Amino acid sequence: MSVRPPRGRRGTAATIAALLGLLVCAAGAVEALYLATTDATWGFTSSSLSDFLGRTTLGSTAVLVTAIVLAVLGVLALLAGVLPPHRRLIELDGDDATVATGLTRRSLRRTLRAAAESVDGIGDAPVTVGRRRVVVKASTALRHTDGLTDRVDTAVRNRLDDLRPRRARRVKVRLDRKES
Amino acid sequence: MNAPVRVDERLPVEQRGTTTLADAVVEKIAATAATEVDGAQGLRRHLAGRAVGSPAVRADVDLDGSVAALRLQIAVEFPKPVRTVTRDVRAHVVARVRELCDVTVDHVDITVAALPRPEQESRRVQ
Repeated sequence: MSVRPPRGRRGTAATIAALLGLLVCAAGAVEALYLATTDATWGFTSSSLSDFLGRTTLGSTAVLVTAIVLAVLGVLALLAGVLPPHRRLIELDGDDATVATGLTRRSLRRTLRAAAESVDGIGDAPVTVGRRRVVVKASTALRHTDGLTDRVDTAVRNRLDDLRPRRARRVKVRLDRKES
Repeated sequence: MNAPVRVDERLPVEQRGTTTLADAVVEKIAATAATEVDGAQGLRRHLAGRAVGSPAVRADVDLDGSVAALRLQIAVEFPKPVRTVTRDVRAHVVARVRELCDVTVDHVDITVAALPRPEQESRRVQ
């Protein structure tokens, strides 16, 4: 098995978890200060919260909805922690199995875009890179466009073949005529 | 150590460097070529009803690589046949742009914006 580029670091999930933790700590600190500086036997939330809880039964809609939402969020958090994160780089097949080569999605998009725009008669050609396919939106000012789509397709395909991404992608070219 | 680096004529052509033409270059050549045709003229610019400056063909190009789409605004001298003149302009501009820039012209859209009489050029008819 050859070396593969590193996986991502679950930054978003980690940030959310940290913010939640911070929120709980902050609430605790505020509560502790409140208790330390007043005569109250329980925190500032006591009256409104306990009133509400006193009026609410376990089967009420609010409780059920809250429970379901929290359960879903919990499952998502668990999955975010357990599942391996995506690899951030698009893997390339190299000749050397001891070296992992990869390319960011943006880099691949740019190089494919440059390949498409190198075709005579093509103005802009923004590219979207998906998991399984590459879509090129080529625009041209020309009216005689016979074979132009094929030339763009070939240019993009050749660039892809040079790079050899591990997962093969289909190329789809859309040609827009710009009239000015 | 630092010997001068020169473009090696033995290199394949595509490795010797690229030549890029500015749009304005092709526009200028097309505009000039258009006035070389008998019966075709440039347009005067008008300011508050008065003609100002010297007549010029207005040209606009979409140049991508070595293929171009051209738009021209010209005046055709009255009473020259407009269709014939525009056809000649089209053919001549395509030939000149190819000859001078090595650029293939995909199409030339021509707007005839004035039909000046020889003695009173710059009169606008639309």
